[in-house]
Amino acid sequence: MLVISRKAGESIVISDNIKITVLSQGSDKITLGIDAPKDIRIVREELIETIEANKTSSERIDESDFKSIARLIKNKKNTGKKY
Amino acid sequence: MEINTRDFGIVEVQDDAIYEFDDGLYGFEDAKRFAIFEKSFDDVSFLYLQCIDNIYPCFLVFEPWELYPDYQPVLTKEDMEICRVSDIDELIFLVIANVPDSIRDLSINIKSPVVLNPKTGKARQVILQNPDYTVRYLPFNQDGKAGSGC
Repeated sequence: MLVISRKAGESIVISDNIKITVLSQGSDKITLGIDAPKDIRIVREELIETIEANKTSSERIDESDFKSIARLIKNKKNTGKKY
Repeated sequence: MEINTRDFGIVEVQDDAIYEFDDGLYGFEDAKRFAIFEKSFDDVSFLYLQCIDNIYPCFLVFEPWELYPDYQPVLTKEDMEICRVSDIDELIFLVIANVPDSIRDLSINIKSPVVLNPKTGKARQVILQNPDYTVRYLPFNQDGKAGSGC
């Protein structure tokens, strides 16, 4: 991975047409501004991960699998709060 | 009311177990109405989140604290406003499970739980602010790499 240090107000340019600027720096997060052509899709990584996780989680589960999961749950100590 | 389910045919659900997702779920933006129902296997009760306008999508879900007792979700202010709550305890949390061939590697998405507001009947999938939470937490396999954050 290429690592570059930047201060607030400084930018990097990717392939002549994408410019990423550090707008501000807080204690636990930074704010980025991105100038890019409209056809470039920009999303937070966790959004893509969530979409993929939802897709793979929507498949049918066999009844025999439930029995296995039930066994795992019974074995796991349950100390959690309930509402 | 009676709903048509993916795995169990017609199932009767209570009216207050039906929630509206105005934005759908991520990747399933057209699925706007879901019911929550219970099904038991070997004395363990499982929760399903079933779309009621179509038999797909349907998810196996868990109450997160059942599988991750230290779960401490942090929502954005914006999500709290959209959910119309001032306190996180007003919401019911559910996490979506992914069941692979190897059951021990069952994972739950603790990064993006489904939150339900029982007062309004509305629900949404939120992406939490907790940086260590993963979309694939392995509650039964603590050695697994995907289970970081605890």
